[in-house]
This record gives sequence, C-alpha cells and structure tokens, in this order.
Amino acid sequence: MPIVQFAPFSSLIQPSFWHELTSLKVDVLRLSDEALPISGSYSVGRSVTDRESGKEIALGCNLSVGSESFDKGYKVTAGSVPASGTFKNYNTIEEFKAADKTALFNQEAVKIWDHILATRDTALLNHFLLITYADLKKYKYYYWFAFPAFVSKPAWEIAEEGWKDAIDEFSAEDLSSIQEQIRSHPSPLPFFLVRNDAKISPVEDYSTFFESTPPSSRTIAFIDPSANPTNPGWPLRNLLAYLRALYPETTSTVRVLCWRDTETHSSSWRSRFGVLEMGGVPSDEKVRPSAVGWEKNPQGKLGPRVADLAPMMDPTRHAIVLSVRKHRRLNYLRRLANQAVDLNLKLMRWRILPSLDLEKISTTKCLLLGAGTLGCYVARTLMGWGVRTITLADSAHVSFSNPVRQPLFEFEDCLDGGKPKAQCAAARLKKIYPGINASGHMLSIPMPGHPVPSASVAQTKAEVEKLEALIAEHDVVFLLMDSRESRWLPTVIAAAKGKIVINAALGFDTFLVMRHGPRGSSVRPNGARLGCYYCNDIVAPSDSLTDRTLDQMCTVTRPGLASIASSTAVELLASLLQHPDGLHAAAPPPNQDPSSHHQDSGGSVLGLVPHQLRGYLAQFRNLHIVGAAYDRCTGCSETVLQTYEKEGFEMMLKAFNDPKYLPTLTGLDKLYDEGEAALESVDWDEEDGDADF
Amino acid sequence: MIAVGIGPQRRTSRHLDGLSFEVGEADDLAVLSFNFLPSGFKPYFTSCKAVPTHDHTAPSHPIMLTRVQFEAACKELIATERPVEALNGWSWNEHPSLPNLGFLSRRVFHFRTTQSTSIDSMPTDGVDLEETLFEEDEAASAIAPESFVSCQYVVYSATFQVPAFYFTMHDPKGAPLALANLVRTSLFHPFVFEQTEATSFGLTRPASAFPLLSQGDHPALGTPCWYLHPCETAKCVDELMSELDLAGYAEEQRFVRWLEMWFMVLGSTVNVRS
Repeated sequence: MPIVQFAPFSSLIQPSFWHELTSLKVDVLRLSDEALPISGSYSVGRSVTDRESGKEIALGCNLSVGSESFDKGYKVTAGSVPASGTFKNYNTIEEFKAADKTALFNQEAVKIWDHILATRDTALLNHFLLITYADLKKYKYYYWFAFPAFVSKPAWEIAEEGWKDAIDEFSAEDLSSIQEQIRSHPSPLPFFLVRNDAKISPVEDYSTFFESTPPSSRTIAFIDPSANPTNPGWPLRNLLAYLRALYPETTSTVRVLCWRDTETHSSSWRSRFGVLEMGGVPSDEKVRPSAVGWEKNPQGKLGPRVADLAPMMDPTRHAIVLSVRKHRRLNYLRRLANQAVDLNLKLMRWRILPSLDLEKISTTKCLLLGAGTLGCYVARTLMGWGVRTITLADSAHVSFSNPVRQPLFEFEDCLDGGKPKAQCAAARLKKIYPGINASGHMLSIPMPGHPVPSASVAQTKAEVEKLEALIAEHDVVFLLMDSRESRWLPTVIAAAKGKIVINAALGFDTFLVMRHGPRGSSVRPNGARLGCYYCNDIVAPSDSLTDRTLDQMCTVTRPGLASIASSTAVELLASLLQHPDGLHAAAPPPNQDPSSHHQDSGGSVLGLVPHQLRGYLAQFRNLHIVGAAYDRCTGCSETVLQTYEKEGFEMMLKAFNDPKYLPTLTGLDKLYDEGEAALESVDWDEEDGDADF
Repeated sequence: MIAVGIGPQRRTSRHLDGLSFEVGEADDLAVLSFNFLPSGFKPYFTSCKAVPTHDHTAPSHPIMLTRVQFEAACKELIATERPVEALNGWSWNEHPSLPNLGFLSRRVFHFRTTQSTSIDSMPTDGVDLEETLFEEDEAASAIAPESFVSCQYVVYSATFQVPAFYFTMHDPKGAPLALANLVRTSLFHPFVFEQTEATSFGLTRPASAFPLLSQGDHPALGTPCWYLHPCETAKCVDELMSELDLAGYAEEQRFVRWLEMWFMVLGSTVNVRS
C-alpha cells in the first residue's frame, strides 16, 4: 500500500510581523537572544481556479504569523486555529549561522513529546520553531521555520481504496452537524474525534468518548490546512504520534477525516476521508521517535530564507510620482527617516547606556542666539541627539567668508547681498532632515552700552518683546553671539523665566563653555548657587565693539575651535538634561576620582555636569571651573531680575542707554567706593631709604 | 463573460468603444454580460462613449457619492450573501481613531502566472547557509507553489468622491511584490496591461491623463498601497448606469446598484474572486 505523504507547512509572514519584530528588538529585546513564546495560525486548505487554464491549484498549507503573533493574549480570527511557537532572534548573522539547529530542533521535539506524555494534551501538537536574524539597517530579515513532526516507523500507509471525499463516507447531515459543532465550540478545535452519531469531542476525551464505540466507527479528525486531494496536512503526523503513544492498542488502523470545510454556502464538501494503517510491526510507543520538519526554501533545499524589505523602504528605487500624491509619498519617506534617526540613538541604550533618557533630550526645545560658527555647529550636534525643535536667531546676512566656517551655509547663500542667516540656517536644517522643526528669526539684540536713539525706541521695544516671547517658548537658550554685551539681555530674561542657559564664547585659541546657574529666588535649600557669565565681572557690560581694528572686530579664531566649543556645549546640555536636578544641578565636587560612577557622586548617567569649562587649544587642555554666583551681578542678581520684572522695557532702556545704570542698581558702584576707601585706609609704611652711603 | 441575474429581464443592446454588451435589468440585480467580439476583446476604460439607440427617461447625470452614502451602500452590499464572486469576503472596517472614514477590506490569495524576474526568488545574498545535516523524510509531499497574499480595500476617494480600489500584495516572506512581478500575478487579467508603459512606481496608458496603477498611502491606515485610478472606473460605471431605468428606485438603492456595477467594472481589470 502506498505510504502516506503529508503536505508540509508553508510559512506565510505578514509584513507587519517584521515591523513588530523591529520595534520589539529596538525597544524591548535589544541584545537579548532568549527564546520567546509566539503564536501563529492556520485554517483549512484552499485552492483557487486558474481562470486561464481552468485548473484547480491547491494553495500551500499556510501557517501564518503577523504582528499579533507577539501578543500575550493571541486570538485567532474565526475559522482559524492557533499554533504555539518558540521564537529566537539572534544578534548577528554569525550567531544565526552558527546556532546549533539540531539542538534547538530537538529541544522543541522533546518539549512536544514530554507534553504529550505528561499532560495527555494536544496543545503542542502543532507547535513550531522560528529562528531569525534581523538586519535592521538594511531591512533584511533572515529566518527559518521548523514544524517538528514525529516520524512514524514503520510509515503510515493509505488503504487500497485511497482517499475519498468525506461525503462518500458521511452523510450530508452528519457533515453539517460536525461543521456546526466545530463552529459553536467555545475554543478553536485543531484536532477532534468523531463518533458514529456525528458527535465530536476534543481528542483529550478519547477514552470516555469512544467507550462504547466500536473501532470501525471511531474517526479522528483535524482542521486540515492542505487542499491537496491525496495529501493530508502536516498536523496529522503529530496527532497520529499522539494516538500511537497513548492508545497503541486501538490505533494501528486509524480512520481519518481531513476537515477542509468552513464556509456555509459552498456547494460541495471539500473534506476528505481515508483509512490509514501501520505498514508493519509498530515500534515501541514509549520511545520518543525522531522528528523532521525544517522548512525547505523555495528552491526545495533545506536552508533559511531572506525577506528583503529594502525595496519597499528605499526611496531611490521608487521614484517619487509627479502627481498630487507626491506629498503623501514624501510623508511616508519622512516617517522612515525618523525611524532611522531614532534607531541610531536607541542603539546607545542597548548595551552602553540602558538608562539614557533620549526622550528628554529630543523633546527639549532649543533657541540658538547666533547663527554663526557656533550656531551652525551647535545646531548640527543637537540634530545628532535627535532634538526636534531648533530655533535660530541672528541679525546678519550670510557673507562670503561664512560658508567655510559655518557648515550650514553654501556659496549661493552669499549672493545678492546674502540670505538672512537665521532663516537660511533653518531651511538648511530641514534639507538635512525633513523631520526637524527648525525656524529662523532675523533679530537684533539690544545691548547695554549701545544707547538707543529715540527714533528707534519703538523698534527696540518690539525686538525685546520678540526675544522675550522666543525665550518663553523654549527650554534652553544657547548664547552663541560674537560679543560680550549682547549676551546680557537674554541672560536676564532667561534667568527671570528659569530657563537653562548654555553660554559659549571663543578667543583665538581658547574657549569658554558654561551653564548659568538658576536665579537666587529659586535656589533650593542647601543648594549653592552657581554663577552666570557676568558673575565674575565687577564692571557692567559695555561697548566693546566700536573703535576696534578689523582683527579685533571679527572673531578670529583657530578654525577647529568652534566645533570643539560647540560640541562641548551640546554635550554639556545633554549631560545636564540627564541629571535629576536639571537646571539646579550642583557643580561637581572638586578632586573627583575620574573612575568613580558619576551618577552616584553628583553627576548624570552621561557623566559630569561641570559649571564652566575653559579650553586651551594650544595645550589641548580643558579646565573645570566653578564660579559662585555674585549677589551684585549685573546679569542674574535678584535686584536686577526683580527690577526687570517690575519695570520691564523701561528698565531695559535705562540699561542700554546709561552706562551707570546697572552699577548703580546692583550696588557695584559702591564696590568701587569701598575699594577706593580700602586702598586709602591702608597705612603705607613710609620707610626712609637706607642711606648706606 | 460575466452574467448574473435572476428573474424576468429587459435587455437593451449597446456598443461601447469596440465592445458590445447587453445591459439588462432583473428585479434585484443589474445584469451585465459581455459578448466577445471575434477579433479579440480588450476592455479599456479611457473613453466610454455610449451610443444610445433609444430614449431613456432615467436620469443620466453622473452619480457623486458622499462618504455617508458610500458607507451605507457598502454595508448594504455586504450584509446579504451574494452569488457574485466580486462581492465575497469583504468586511467593513472603521478608521483606527476617527469616525465616518471606514472602508471595506478583505484578504485573498493569488499566485504567479508567468515566470517572474529574479527579484522575488532572491538568493540568500551571498550568505551561504545551506544545511545538509538532516535526515531524509519519505513521508513529506512536494511543496505547493508559492502563493501571494493580497490585502484589498475599497475606500472612499475624497478627491473624486467615488470609491477607489487599493491593494497590497506580498509574498510568503512578508515582502511586498515589485511592480514587475505584481502584474504577472493572477490578480490581473492578462490583457489589461498590454498598452501600458511601466516605471517602477506605476503604469500609465499613453492617451490617458491619469496613471492606471500607482502607489499611494491608504487614506485611513496610512500604509503604502497600490491603487487603480478611481475616476476611470467611476466614469464607466456612470455610463453603464445611465442605461438603466432607475426611476423606481429609492436613492439608497441607486447607490447600492451603483456600487454593484462598480464591482463589475472593477472585475474586468482585476480578478476579483475571493
């Protein structure tokens, strides 16, 4: 008699499965390659008619997985049955190749066998194994399914009369009854028993269900994913192995119903029936049989497959359609760009810094005052951190000397008088990464020591208001201008509003990068207040710009300095944002052991959060400095801030116009007098010169 | 030839751009049967010019559906069992978060009809992973031919105020098919693409203002799909509907009828079996 040939499972993967695996790996699994439980499903076999040839083509025994396969509470759609699976994702292609496939497979086979013997349950009979390697950068997914099935020795054979239609064995009423019972069963029933009274039951009830049924009326049945008339589906193999293991005396001949009907309105029954016999003396049923079931690839060879989703993702392979639909395509591509940028950042959290809070950084809104060398480099580095909102403000236009040192500008931006720097920089940021929320504002910042002509007062007031609004809308202000006094106004406003201020300034081969401390009235108890840019000054900021020679006017610096200072500034911010105290973070304790864990000793997960860094490029050295706040500071003392809050623009105007205003307000003028007086009071000992001669 | 209908029928004859067909009307279904011309049959939908041979009292203005009417017609259409293949297997879905933006969807299987290019039968990209360590299994039959899964949607096109057919097709590996292989599946009738020009992102006909087949995002799900340009189908349906006497129908019924006709017309480009 011919040996029964079972139709193997064919895996069918929904694209959503790969998307889910990608998110799972990036956000949850990271580097873990532990086995996970997953679920799949299959339903009755289907065939389609080829319109052209009229032939009936049987579709494969599809076991399907999708994004829901990873869900804990997996629910199948009506008409499908679930299959449990073991999933293992490897981190590198080498590990995937080197994995001991035989051991993995046997482990699953043992699991299934032990479960049968221990619980007498059919739950694992259609259990499968899936190993994968996901190349997330190239969107390629390597995978291999295995559907372990116990090999019967001797093999099962089909009786002389072969397979026939179920309608030839059962009446139409019986088949309808069976169908109805399957449909109304509370849970999906991949395997079941049928009695001569057309009643069905789960296979687990074999002994009681068939108690008074003669063997010739006992039928075992299963939801058959095969549509081939002469090949029953793969799940039957393990069902037969189960029966042979638990009921060997009554199962050397088995009547099998391959259930292939679900729709109610089909005109004919598709289910098949056959009688199977052991083709010889059965082997010892308690010994675990060997198992087979690695899925063959489409070339018919035993080997893994590759799903290449890159063509779907790669924008250059799908040219943008010139139609009204263009913007939709671009939106889709923008989403892909976002994912790619996020991926790079999230990789830091796998191994290096699992506790890094990337969201904190990417949602921080940054205002960059100055779109020159410092501004351009700061903007670029912020984008690298995934910061989504970057606003630039500058009063100038792009000039011919800018592009080589200011990486957001090109030659063409200089023509026709030059584009406005802030807007041009913002537009360039969007070209680099369309997902960025970048904007630029043409803004002149009024400065102390630069009196405002009365005709310009209204305009100056508008500029101040604009600056106040910008600072209010953002979380961090970067002071990246090219003069000392232009930093005063934003220092005051930002201190009053409690914003983080990062200050960067360049000398020829030295730089300063610092963070301003919080305002006095907001300092926490026992907190030491850190100072601002002006805290060490004993003079008010004044005009440093007029009457300078050319080399004094342009900030002449060593070209490498700007990027060093800018990067330092951004990394200082990143570390500050990771610190639990944020703006109120204390300065690092002095003489700290460099190898100590920064988080435990006052730092953040990224390390130190220094107050001031002074860089000396000639020595390639950075000095860490802590500057205490000065209660007579013209930039951040409570006197100044409260006066600003009370008088607003009026106070500002006085500061711009009258060089004596700020010293008087803060009491710095008294300091001079005190200093003079102290000098006077020193009793200089007038010694007569030794007249030796 | 597509012929569906029950009950007494009234028949009128029409010529439509090289194809002759009969439009009849049964009590509850429009009957549409195409007669094949001896010289070959290529139904295009660029210019449907109906040549009326007698007067009609039925209104002949093109029917514009609102979203609400579309939703009602869809739900009515799938509520009852129909013997027409095109109407099988559909279910109504709501937009994930917004009301009144629903659509029909279903999943069907297709297969390769002619030898496709090597894009789909990709080797393992230089990674040689072939294993020969496993025992031979005499009890396994040969693998079935590869089948493709097509997720199909009937959505409401806000731009044209008519239904549009969106779909995806992916292989068992979960990778969407490239256009070159897509057109060689059983989803499309073989003659449909004969006079089209293909790029990697769409198919156009030389005389047509719109591409026949192009890529776009699903209006509700936002996922990338292929779609047939909606006004081609709609124009034809309008022409065909103008031949029917709909005087006795309530407005909702007219829309249901219109949608049925739309599926018929769709069926001449796309293999709409479930």
